[in-house]
Amino acid sequence: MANNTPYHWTLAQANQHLAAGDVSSRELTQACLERRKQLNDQLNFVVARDDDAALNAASASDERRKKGELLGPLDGIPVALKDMFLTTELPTTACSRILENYRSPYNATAWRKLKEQGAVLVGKLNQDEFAMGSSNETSCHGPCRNPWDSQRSCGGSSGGSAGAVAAGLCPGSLGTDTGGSVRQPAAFCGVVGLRPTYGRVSRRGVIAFASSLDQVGPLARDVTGCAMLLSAIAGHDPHDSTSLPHPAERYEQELPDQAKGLTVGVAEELLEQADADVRATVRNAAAAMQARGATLRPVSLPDPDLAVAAYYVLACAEASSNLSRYDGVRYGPRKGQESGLDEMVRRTRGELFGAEVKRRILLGTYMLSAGYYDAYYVRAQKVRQHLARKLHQVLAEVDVILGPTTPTSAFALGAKPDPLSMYLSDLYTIPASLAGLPALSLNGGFCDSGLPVGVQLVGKALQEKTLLQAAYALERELGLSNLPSMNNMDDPA
Amino acid sequence: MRQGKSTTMPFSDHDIAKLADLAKVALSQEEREQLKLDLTQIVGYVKRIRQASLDKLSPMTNDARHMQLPLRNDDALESPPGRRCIEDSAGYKDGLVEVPAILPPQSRKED
Repeated sequence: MANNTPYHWTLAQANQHLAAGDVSSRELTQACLERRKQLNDQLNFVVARDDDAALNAASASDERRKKGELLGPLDGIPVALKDMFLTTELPTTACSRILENYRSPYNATAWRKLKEQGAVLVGKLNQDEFAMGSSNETSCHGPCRNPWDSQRSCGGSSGGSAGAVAAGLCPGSLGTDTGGSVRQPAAFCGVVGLRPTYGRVSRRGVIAFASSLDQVGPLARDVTGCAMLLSAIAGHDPHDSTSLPHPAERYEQELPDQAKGLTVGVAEELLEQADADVRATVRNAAAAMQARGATLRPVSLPDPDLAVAAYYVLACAEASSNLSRYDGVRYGPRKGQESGLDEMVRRTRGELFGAEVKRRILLGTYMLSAGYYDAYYVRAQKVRQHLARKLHQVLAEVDVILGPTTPTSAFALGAKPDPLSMYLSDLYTIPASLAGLPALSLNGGFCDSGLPVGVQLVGKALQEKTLLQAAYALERELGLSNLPSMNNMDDPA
Repeated sequence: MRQGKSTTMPFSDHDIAKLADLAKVALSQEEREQLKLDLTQIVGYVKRIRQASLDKLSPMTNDARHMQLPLRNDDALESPPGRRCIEDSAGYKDGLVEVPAILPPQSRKED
């Protein structure tokens, strides 16, 4: 496919074209907005926008460029944010009716950093309600659709963030990853998604789901774009007590296309639970790493089913606590106000939370209740310790672990009606989340039906540079085009 | 609540009502029926964490590596200016944070 249209550019290409004067930020932004107008009715990625503000921000960037006063490599680059990020410019709702029309008085740190470096906000993106889901089907706006096949899911919860990048609505976006919510949609949509080390990026101003697991993650069409975004948003934030004191690095400046000296662990037994297409893609990726000079080493990893079980205990417990603040008093609309305070709170939460959110709140309440706290919550924390230690032991022997991101390629919308089968789609992403480790998904190839298949690399804590280097070498060796054909769209690309 | 009983037992109407009450969530009868099935299935899956051998491990709350939690002297510090404290609020007027009324005016009169 021709790569000469601005909305098909990677983040680095957009930066280069802006620097060369081939295009202005206003023209680039306009191209992204036109792309949205063309596709959003079908794909449902963008849930809030202000086109005039975006174009004004782009024009301001063009003025800075003329004066030689650029704020950074992202100056003038259109980006979009998952609806979990608080923004003063646009409403923030976590795609929930309980936060309808909520507008924050301050910006999330990750967005503030992008804005201070000149990035242009072209919209807030669809997601599962409060990031609870793996298919984007729990959003109050309805699901977004996969640009590779509109009958299939973009994944979740950052489905809009992955789909918008894949379809060319923006060259980069931010999502959040609690148990795989950046990596799984990245795999389904054929883009690159990174979950940094827990604490690497500030969570201030990101709506909380499960605070000990939530982490901000960038998505882009290639590894370099992901690295550029991480460079922009990483670093300590005194407003987030879990933010680590390590400064940001310029990750995109150290991406050699060889993997010599890297040891890559491959967990063959994990592949038993994956589809044949996924197994073949991971094995091909391992061979590609070897072709770039990496040394492969078989490794044995903890049972991912145990990780999924512990994750849903902990995440639901934390969610039930975090979401207690949505009571109709401080945020959003109210229901049953005429019935007194207690009934107003019960009806507001009952009528405005979606089914999946209520399910997780009740599960979390159960896990934290007297008689079950030790049996589930404390036990799950011990399982988390056990899994983290095992992963750290493996990573003492290898630089990164290569495996599948998901057991299957993108599934059809509505294909997983019961919650447990949906939860199991995060089988391979949850262990790194529990251990707080950085992990990245990139496109490893395509299955027989033409859908992208993601491969996951898990790195050592705070070693995002090594992780991105390994991913870049793999991306170079595979040499895949990540642009969806959009054959099933009304107006193909 | 079914304290101490086996988690393999299905959730009852009473269990769901109790959890909904604790979580302050109003549920329809249809939702209660569905939640009985869902929670029974999910808890049946997650109970596998009770089978793992983990006796010597301490619980792990999060993994913020090298996080510093420095202690400071027990000195009373001057509070930041009130205006600084409320400037992140949705609105403030005359030094006070503005919030929506919790109950309609009529209810407040009755109180």
